[in-house]
Amino acid sequence: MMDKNLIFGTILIALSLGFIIYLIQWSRNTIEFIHKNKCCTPRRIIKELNEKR
Amino acid sequence: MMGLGMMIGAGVFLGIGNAIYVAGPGGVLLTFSLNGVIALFTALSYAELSSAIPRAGGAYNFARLAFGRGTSFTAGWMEWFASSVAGSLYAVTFAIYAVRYFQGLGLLDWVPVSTYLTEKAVALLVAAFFLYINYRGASETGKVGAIFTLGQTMFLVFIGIMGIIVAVIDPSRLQNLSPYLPYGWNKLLITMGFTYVAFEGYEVIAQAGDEAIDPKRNLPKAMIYSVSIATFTYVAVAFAALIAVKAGTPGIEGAPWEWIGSFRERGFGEAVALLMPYGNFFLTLAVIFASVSALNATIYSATRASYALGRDRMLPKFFSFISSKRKTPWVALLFTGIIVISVAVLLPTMDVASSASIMFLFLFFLVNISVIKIRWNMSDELTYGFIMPLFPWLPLIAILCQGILAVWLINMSLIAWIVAPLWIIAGILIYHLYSKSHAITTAEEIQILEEDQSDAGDKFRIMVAVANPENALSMIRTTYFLSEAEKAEIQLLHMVPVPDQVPLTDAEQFMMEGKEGIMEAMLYLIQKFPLTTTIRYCRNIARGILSALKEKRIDMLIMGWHGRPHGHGFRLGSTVDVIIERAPCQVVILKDCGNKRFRRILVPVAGGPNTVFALHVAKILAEKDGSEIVLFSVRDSKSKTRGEAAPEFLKALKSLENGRMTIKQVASTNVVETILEESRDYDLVVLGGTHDPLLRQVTRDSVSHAIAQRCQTSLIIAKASGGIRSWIKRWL
Repeated sequence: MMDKNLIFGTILIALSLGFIIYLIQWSRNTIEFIHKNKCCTPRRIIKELNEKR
Repeated sequence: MMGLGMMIGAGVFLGIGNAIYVAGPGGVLLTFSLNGVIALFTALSYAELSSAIPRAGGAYNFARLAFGRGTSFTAGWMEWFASSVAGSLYAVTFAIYAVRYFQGLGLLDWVPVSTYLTEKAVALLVAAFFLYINYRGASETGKVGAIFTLGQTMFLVFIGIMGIIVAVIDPSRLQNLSPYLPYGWNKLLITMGFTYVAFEGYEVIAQAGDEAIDPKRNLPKAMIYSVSIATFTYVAVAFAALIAVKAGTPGIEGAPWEWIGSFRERGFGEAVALLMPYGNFFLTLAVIFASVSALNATIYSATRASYALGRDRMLPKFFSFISSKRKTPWVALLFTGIIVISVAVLLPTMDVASSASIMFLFLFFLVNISVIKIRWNMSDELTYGFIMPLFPWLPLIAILCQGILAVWLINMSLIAWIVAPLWIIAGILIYHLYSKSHAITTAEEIQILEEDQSDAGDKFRIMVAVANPENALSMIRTTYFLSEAEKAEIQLLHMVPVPDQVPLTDAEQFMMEGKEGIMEAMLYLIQKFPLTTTIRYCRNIARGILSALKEKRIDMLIMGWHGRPHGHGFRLGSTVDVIIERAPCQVVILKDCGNKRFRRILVPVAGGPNTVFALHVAKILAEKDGSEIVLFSVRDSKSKTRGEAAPEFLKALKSLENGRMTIKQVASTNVVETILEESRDYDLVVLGGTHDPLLRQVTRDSVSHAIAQRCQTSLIIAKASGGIRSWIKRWL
């Protein structure tokens, strides 16, 4: 019988690392988007990000 | 590279063995993964703030902007200690692995003292050496630093890859991961706490903000990448350490993880020595590289923090003395050195690591609060190169996790929980006894174009938001009467709205009209009331006013409204709506009140604190003009609750009644139309602002808003202070 902690732990590690990768990607895209569109304040950035979507 | 160099210092080399000892094989893997996520949340906060405030100083600057000088001193003070103690840790790491290696070669057999004392002596020597290097100014810079960092990172990555290869070749070694968490999940909190120091490199990146090229773009990237690379590296390396030892190998007692853990801080070295040929040699080389670059960077960082405090006169001036020969801040370096050496020599290793971790946890706690405060209060005045996702949830989660980790560290090191709070308390005392009276204003503090300093003491404070001379004149009479009644001190405020395309440094060209307005108001009020003036620039007027209200601890705001709803989606206007909703004080909005005398004043009542305040305002004006006040209550014949004032409320109002106040009640199916119809016979309507919940306001206009939008008579909207909610708003 496999150690339950092993299963939960492995899933948790995978989720953590996956979440880190997602945040890196999101951050990179946001930095480039802001740089390209020359937006400045958070309101404008959020507005233009929402428009882009 | 700089941040990564700082990060991959000692935390991983010392932390892996101890984490395995405390939490088991699964525990060490989970420790670094979860710490990586929490560290990344804080890195995102740093990234956002550094992109908006790319000046040298890091947490010191962020705290200053968010909370002011007192908190920024605390941030700088904590940063000084945290970096110094981290330096101690790196000196100790270097010493442990160097002594271990040379003992293995038999070169230290002649040493007459114990290994522990030998390590302490080596730590002292290496710390002193790098303090001297920093004094000489010959620091590890540019390409050399990058090569060291690249070298140590590549070696660790190589170890991680070797671990994976070994696991693939010999899958039986995966049994080393069992039992995964032999002591339970709660031990994770301890291991996450003392290894958190392994993720503190982004403070150094933020500190060097003014030295980066294209900082708004590159600083956020540097922070996020360095935390991410470090996390993956640590997890891979921890895995490799667990896999390195084959169960049943002669000389290895018990399970492999128990054997590694028994060596505590040396455990990682013992494991890697078995993983590959010449593992010991390469590991020692990697530790030397890592410790050297991290030690140098932390001494530099700590010295810079104390130098900045001395430069701003928050610490005695001699902290900012620069050596005429070496051009280095030698006094700041000296005091930093005292801390580094004392901690490295006097405290046991895990207490050193825990002390560094706990102070960084406190510091990052402060940064996460700062990012929220700055985004909410002044983001329109800053230019961001990055904003974090899921705001404010990520910094809030980081705050919660860091708080828990800091508290749990008491299980690992009681000394850390004595030393760190003592240091902070000492800092608070120094600030109040010395820094507060000696600190000087710096260029970074300019957000205000012109300001009189005032000390209203306990006086009631009224702020009047002036837009232009015409607007100022229209508010004089009401301001005069209210100030007289409250025996108030008046602060005249003008916000200069600066278009996005124009730099804030060019704000002065937009302020003339407001300045004239303030002068106009002053002429009438200064003879009678203590009065001060402020002119500030902003991107968003509402936010600027809210900021000023909180900063000046205002009791009542008076401002004008032209009467026309303005801005898509706003009921009364983009400024008035926000002020009514969020102001932490009483608000009096004047429409078309000018220089008029009001014979008959109508006060629609529906119950609630705003109506009571509206009546209070109406009474003050009525006393001056000898006006009649009519309380008008409309019972909505369709709804039992809407528009009706409860009998108890009317009874309470009656207690405020004087001879010139009457109560009129009617029944109607349309509350708004009835009130508007009634208002035609009056000179002034004084309306309580809505206290409908926000959600309800989204689906329908409140009665107050509907009346305000269509009322043709002079109008005052009065909103009472929000009690507990106002107190929270003051602090956020």
